[in-house]
Amino acid sequence: MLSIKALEKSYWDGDRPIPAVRSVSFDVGRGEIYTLLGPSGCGKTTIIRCLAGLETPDGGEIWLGGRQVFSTLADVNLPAMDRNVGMVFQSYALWPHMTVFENVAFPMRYGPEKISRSTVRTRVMAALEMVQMQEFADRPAPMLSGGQQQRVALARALVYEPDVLLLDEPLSNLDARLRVQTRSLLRSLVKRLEITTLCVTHDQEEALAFSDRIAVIRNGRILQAGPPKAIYEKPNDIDVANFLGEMNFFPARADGLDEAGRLRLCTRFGTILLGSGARAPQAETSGQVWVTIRPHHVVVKACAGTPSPNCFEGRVEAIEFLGSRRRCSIGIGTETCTVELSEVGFNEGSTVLIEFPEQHLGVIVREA
Amino acid sequence: MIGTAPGRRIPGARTLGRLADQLRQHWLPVAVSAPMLVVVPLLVVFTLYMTFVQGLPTEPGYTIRHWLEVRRPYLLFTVIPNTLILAFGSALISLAFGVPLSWLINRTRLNFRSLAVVCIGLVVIVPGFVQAMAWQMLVNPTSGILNKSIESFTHHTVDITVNSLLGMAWVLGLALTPAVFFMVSGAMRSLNSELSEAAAVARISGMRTVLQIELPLLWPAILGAGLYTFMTAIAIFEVPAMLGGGGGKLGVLSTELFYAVQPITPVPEIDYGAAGVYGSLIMVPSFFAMYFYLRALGSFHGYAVVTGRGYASRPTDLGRAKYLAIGFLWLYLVLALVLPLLVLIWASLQVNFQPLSTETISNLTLRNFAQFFPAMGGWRPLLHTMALMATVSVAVMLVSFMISWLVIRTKLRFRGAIDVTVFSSHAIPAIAIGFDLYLAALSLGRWIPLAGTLLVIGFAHAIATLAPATRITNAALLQIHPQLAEAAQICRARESIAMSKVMVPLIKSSLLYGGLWTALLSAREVTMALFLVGRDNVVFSVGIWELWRTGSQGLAASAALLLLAIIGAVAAITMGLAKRIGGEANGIWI
Repeated sequence: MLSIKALEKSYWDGDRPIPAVRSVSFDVGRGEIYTLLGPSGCGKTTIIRCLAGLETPDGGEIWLGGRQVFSTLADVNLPAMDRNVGMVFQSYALWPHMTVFENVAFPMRYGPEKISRSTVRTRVMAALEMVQMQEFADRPAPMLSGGQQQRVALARALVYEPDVLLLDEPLSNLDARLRVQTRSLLRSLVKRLEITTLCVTHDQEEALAFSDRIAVIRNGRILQAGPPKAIYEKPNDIDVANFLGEMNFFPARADGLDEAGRLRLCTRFGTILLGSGARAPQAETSGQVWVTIRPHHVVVKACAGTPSPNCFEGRVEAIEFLGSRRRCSIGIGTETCTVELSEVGFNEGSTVLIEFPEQHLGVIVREA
Repeated sequence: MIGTAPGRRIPGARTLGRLADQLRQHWLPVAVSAPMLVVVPLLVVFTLYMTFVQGLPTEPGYTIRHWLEVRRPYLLFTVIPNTLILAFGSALISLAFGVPLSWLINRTRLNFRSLAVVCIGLVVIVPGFVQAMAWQMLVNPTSGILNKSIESFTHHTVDITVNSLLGMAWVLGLALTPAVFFMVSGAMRSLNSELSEAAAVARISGMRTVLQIELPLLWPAILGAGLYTFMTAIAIFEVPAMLGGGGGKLGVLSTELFYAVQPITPVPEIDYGAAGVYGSLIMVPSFFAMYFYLRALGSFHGYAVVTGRGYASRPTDLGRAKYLAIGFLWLYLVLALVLPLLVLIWASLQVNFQPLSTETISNLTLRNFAQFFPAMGGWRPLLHTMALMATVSVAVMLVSFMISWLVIRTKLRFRGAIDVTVFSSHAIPAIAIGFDLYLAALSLGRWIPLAGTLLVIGFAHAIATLAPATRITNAALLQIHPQLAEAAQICRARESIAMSKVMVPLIKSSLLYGGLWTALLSAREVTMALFLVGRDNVVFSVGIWELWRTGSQGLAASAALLLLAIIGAVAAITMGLAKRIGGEANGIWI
C-alpha cells in the first residue's frame, strides 16, 4: 500500500550537506498502522514530508496505493495535491478564518473532482460525526480546544478518503490525560476505516500503544523495525533499548554453550544462563556482549535457600517512591541493577535475592 | 529572508529538469513576478550602458568620455562633496532625533506614548518637497517668518537660511526621522529588560547601562536605520532641487542628473551620458550601503538573547527627567509637523506671501483654495494622482504577494536571488528610475506610445515601491505558520486556491497596510513624475511643484494642504478598516 525504497534527503548548510534521511526503506500494508519513532531531529518528520510531497527527496522511490509518486530513476515527482494523502499536522493547521465546516469542506470544494453542494454537506457532516464534532460545525476554528482542533484536523484529513493517512506528532500538543483518550479513539477509528496510516512521534509510549509496527529511527537511519512488543523486549541496539524506556545493561562475555545448550554469559557478578528458546537464533555465542533486562521484569525475592540459576544476592541501596510503583537500586557485586516493583517488602540496606527471568533477558553485541 | 542561499549544487540535467518542474508547479506567481524581476536588473544595466554611449542611445559607437567628465573640478570638488555632506548630515540629524525618540516611546513610562507614535506617523504623510516649501518660507533672510519674528524681537538682522547644505540636511533629516524611529522601534521593543536589570542589580548606573548594555545591543538596528537614511539622502532630488536655489548653486548628484536631461535653459543637446554617470555615482554607494544594511540586519539576528527566553519589557522610570523628555518630543513635533503645517496654512491664506504682522492678518483670504485648480489646469492632476494611488497600490501588492510567496512559501531554487534582486531595487535612486524610464519610453515610442502617459508614471512608482512592499508581504507571510499553506496543498488545492482562499484572508490587514503605504508613496512622489510628465499626464504633486516654481506660493501652499488632507483621509480610512478586519488574524495563529 505504501512503500519507500532507499529514500535519501540532505539539507544544505552552505556547501556542506547535512544528511537527514539515509537510505530508508520500508513497506506498510493495507490498514496497518506504522510508526516512525525517534528523537527530534532524527529525520522522521522529513520522511513523512517527503511522502506527502512537501519535500523533494534526493534519491529513492515512493509508492502510494500502487502508484509511483516519486522516483529519481524514473524521474517521477507528483506534487502534493496529486498524491491523495490525508495529513494531520503537528500544529493541526486548521485555517483560523474558516469555520469547522468550511475547514472540512475545503478539500472537496477545491479538490480535483467536482462534487455537488449537497454531497459536500453530507460527507462533511458524516466526517464530523465520525470524530464526534458534528455539533461544532458552525464554530470558527480558533474557538476550539486543542483536542477538538485535533479531531477536526482528522476529519479534514479523512473526508476525501485518501489512500494513506499521515500523522505528524498527532498527540504532542495535547495534555497527558487527553492524549491517552485521543490515542485510543484515533486507533479504533483508523482500524474501523481500515486506512493505511503512517505516524511520526518521539513519544515511545504513544508509539507502543498506537502502532502495529514501529521503526526506531536515529540519525536518518532505521535502527530496528518490528511489532511493539518485540522491539520493546528484545532490542537489538543499545540506542533502541534506551529510547524505548529504562533498561539494565550488564557487560558480559559470551562463553559458548553448556551441556544443556544454554548460552553462558559471564558477568561481573556471576554467570547468567540463557536457554535456546529465549534468545534470538542468530545471537553470538562468543565475544563481548551486553545482557539487558527491563527494570520491571526483574524479580526480587526475600533472601532464603540456595540460589537457583540466574539468581543473585544483592543489597538494596535506594528505594524511590513513584506513586504507582517503587524504583529500587540494588547492588550486585560491583554492578547496580534498577528494579521496578509495585510493592516492596524490604528496606534500604536489606539483602535480597534478585532473579532475571530467562524469557525477558536480551543480548546485544558490545562493540569494542 | 535575505541571504537564504538557493541550492548550491552544480546544476546538471536533472537539476534543470527539477527547476522546470518547479516553474511549472508555481507558474502563476512566477508569471506575475517575472516582469518586475527582469526590469529591476535591466534598469541597473541600462543606467551603466548609458554612460558609454556617444550622444543619443541611437548613435553608434561607445565612449568613456562621460566617465572622464568625473575629473571635472566642479564635479569632483563641489557636487560630490555636497552630496556626501547632505547624505551624512541628514542621516546624522535623523538619527539624533529618531533614536532618542524611539527609546523614550518604547522603553520609558512617558505618558501619551501611542499619541506620540501617531504624531510621528503624521510626519510621514508630509512629502519631502512640501517640507522643503514650508522651511523655505520659515527660514530665509529676506522673508522667512522665523527670521523676521526673531528680528522684530532682537532688532538685529538674522542671516540664517535654509538654502544651504546644512539647511537641506536639516529639512531632510527631520523628514527622515520617522523612518529611523520606526526602524529602530522593533529592536527597542524586543530588547529584554532583564539584560538592563542584570546591570542594575550589579550596581551599574542607569546612564551607563544605556550606553554599555542597551546601545551595543541596539547598534545593528541603529546602523541599519542610518544606512537606510544615507541611501535615501544620497539619491533624493526634491529637497535639494527646492532648496538648492534652482539654478544649481548647491548642486548635488541628483540635481545635476536632472538638469543634464531637463536643462532649465532650453539647450538643444541633452547630455544622456553625463546623466548616466551621475546616476551610476548615486547607485554605487547605495549598493554598498545596502550590502552593509543587510549585514547589519544579519548580525542583529545573531543576538538571540535580545528576544530570548523569559522575555520581559519593563519600561524605565524617568523621574524628573520626564519633563526634559516631553520637551524633546514636543521640540521634534513642532519642528517637523506643527511649524511646517502652520506656515503652509499661513501662506495658503495670502495672495502674496508676507511675514506675520497685524497688517497681513487683516488681508487674509480663502481665494487661493478656489484658484489653484484652474491654475493647475483643472481637476485632472488630482484625478490622475488618485487613479495612480489606487492602481499602483493594488498592482504592487499583488506582485509583492506573489514574489513573497515564491521567496517564503516555495522551495524554488533561486528564491534567494529573487529576494535580493527585488530588495536591491531600493538602491536604484528614484531619479535614475525616472531617467531610465524616460529614455525607455522615448526609444520605444515608435512601437508603444508610452511617453507622456499615466501608465509610465505608474510603472515608475511600482518599481520604486516594490522593495518596501515586499518587505511588508515577506514579514506577513513569515508570520503565518507554514503548515497552514501546506495543509491546503495536502487537501489537493491548486496553488492559486491556497493563495486566494487561505493565505490572502490571513494576511489581509498586512496587505491593506502595504497598499496604504504604496498609495502614500505614490501620492507624495514628485521626482520620477517630473521626468515622465508630459502635457496629458500631469499629477497633483507635479502641479504643486510647478505652481511653486513659477512663484505662486499661496496657490502651491493651498494645493499642498489639500494633498495632505487627501493622504490623511486615505490613511485614516484604511487604518480603521485594517483594525476592523485585522482582529481575527492575531492570537495563536501567527
